Amino acid sequence: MSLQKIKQNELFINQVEFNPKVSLFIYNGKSYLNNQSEVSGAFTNNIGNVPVGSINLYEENVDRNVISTGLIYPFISKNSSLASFKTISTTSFNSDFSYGDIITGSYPLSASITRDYYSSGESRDKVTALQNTLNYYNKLSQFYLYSSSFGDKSTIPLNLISIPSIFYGNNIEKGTIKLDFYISGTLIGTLEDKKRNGELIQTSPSGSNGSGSVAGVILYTEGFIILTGSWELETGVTRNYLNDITNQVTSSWLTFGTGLGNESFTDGMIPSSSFSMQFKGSNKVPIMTMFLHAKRGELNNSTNPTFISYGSNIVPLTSSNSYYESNTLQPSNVVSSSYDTEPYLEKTTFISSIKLYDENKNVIGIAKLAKPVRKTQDRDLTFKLKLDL
Amino acid sequence: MSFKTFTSADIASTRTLLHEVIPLTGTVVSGTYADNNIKNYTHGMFQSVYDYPYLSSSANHILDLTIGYSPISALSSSSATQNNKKINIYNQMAQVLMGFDVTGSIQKFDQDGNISTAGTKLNECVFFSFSRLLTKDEIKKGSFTLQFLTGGANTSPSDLKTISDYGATNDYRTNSPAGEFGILYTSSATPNTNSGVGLVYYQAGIAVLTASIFNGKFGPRSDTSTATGSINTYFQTGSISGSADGLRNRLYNIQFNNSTELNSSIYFCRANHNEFNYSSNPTYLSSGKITVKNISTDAPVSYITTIGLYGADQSLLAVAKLSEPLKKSVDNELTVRVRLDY
Repeated sequence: MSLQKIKQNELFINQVEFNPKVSLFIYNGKSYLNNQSEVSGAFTNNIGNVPVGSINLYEENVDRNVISTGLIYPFISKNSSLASFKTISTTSFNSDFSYGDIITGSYPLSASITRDYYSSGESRDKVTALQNTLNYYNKLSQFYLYSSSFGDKSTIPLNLISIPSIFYGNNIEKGTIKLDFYISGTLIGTLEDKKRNGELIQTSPSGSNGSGSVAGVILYTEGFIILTGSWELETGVTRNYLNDITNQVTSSWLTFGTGLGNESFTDGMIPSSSFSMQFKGSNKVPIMTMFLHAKRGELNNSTNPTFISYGSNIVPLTSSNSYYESNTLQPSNVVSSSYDTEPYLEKTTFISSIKLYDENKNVIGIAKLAKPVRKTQDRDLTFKLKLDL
Repeated sequence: MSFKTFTSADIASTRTLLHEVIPLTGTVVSGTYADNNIKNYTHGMFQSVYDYPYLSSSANHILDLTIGYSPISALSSSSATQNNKKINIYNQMAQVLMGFDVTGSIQKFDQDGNISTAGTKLNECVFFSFSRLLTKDEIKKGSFTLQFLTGGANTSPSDLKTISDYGATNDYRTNSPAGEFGILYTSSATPNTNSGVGLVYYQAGIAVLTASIFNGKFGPRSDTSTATGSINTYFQTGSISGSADGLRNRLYNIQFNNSTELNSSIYFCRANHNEFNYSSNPTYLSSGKITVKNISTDAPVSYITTIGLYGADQSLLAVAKLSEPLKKSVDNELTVRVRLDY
């Protein structure tokens, strides 16, 4: 083993951007992420143990239920670091647990896209919290303004769709959002951000009511869609979007995504309506690339015991006042010969792994080679290491 | 926005252990999925067990099963099936988990873990290598339990034995290159130097069990041939994957707790009475007046919403947001505790 310092021109940091495509289909109170439906297992009807439109944060309880197999769950012991689970309130942490007590959490935990509908004048904490953010994007479009001639978002009917960042990464890719509204499988409205400025414009069906109008805005970095378009997408037909048979409303962008959590929903409430949402995420991954050189005449010695020829006595002689290692140990000669004679010794090593050290000589990374690479004294080698950060 | 430099008294480090309870029933390992969750490889040196049929993207790798014996084992014979591979597996496991002696020879697995004395060596072993997904940083000491049906025929195994690292919370060994390890005992035995039946390596996530705890006919449940004999016979005549099938056939339950080390830095951000009472936020002033004050003669007041942690070169490293703004004036002093987990 030998140590070499990586020079400045041997180390590069690049960034790779990934754009995972996300599609969500919503029908009858259930959402389907990337067209995946429930998978039945031996112990559960849904092996993921979370709703199919959700992302499982800890994929450890696959096809398990409490009775037959028991669930994996986390626990922590209360100590002076005051660490706890988010589900435990500060009051409960202080009063219900003594030091040394076990505090348990539960799996599975999931993240899902949710919808909040606000009728005219209804209080709306989540929208109010976005006031500064919405006003900040005013430079992109006047439709972002919290209160303007296009409406006051603190009072008008509003449809807020919240997308957790685990669905998209750093931000939603601009211009990739597409919302489709279907009745009995027929498309009655599509929203897209054609101008890539966050305005959600109705682009199809061509000539439909509201075509070309802005129905809402999207916050690409924060992961929110705010829909305010209240025009009828389906003329003269009312449906039970509000789960109130006496108060049926027409299909509009305010009813988009009905059944997407956070609201009361009855099975079969809106049997004809379905919704689709598509977008691309954006994930930026910095990648460190290192070029490590094994030059000729270098790295031709090993401290591995097998580097010494078989039968050599590698055990040092020790006594109460001395420590002696033999200075006549011969390296193994691995040079092949076509003849029945011992070939000339050529010091040869086989590089099987490369370790990365910090300035204090602590190992901070290990790169293993698929096959050991033969290194002879006259051979120059360069290893390319990539590290995703 | 105002800056204040931390002193050493403002920064503290803590370590917290987060645990998970991992129950693995034998039914998952054997039988439930008609062995579609069991992966055998062409090299035949070990068998992988998944928690669901492995062709599904939902499946997680749980553990690898394999067996081996030392070169000096009575089972070692040139006529034995996969003899070299069984020896190589034993040697590989032993050199990683037990290390080498002063002559460069591989240490053998030791019954009581004390390699400095002769002691009883475990020459025929079965190995359970658990997935990092389950063991995380380490298996929690004193929590590891295996339950096996150790007796009876392979077609109808019986004699349930519970094997655990009893007392390992305080009594474990540290003389392994792979970290700390405990001794496995059967529940019926009083733990002493001669009653150990295996070893569990906490950081490596590997359990080693002596083959001698199994008696009766050993082999896969489907093997009804009369040739099926003791585990020693099967280790010699059977393949490694067949022995792994036999182990799964007798596995009743595995349970352990894992540990994840959470390191935290705690920054005590202290705002004295005469600090942080003013803001450079553009909305703080309107027409030259402080907007959060009603009477001009009142002392300045501000609302703290965010704390930014900066590096030595004034670059922003982290941001802590308060759940609600804190009122700060000359009348009060605040200490905000910011915890950074990593």
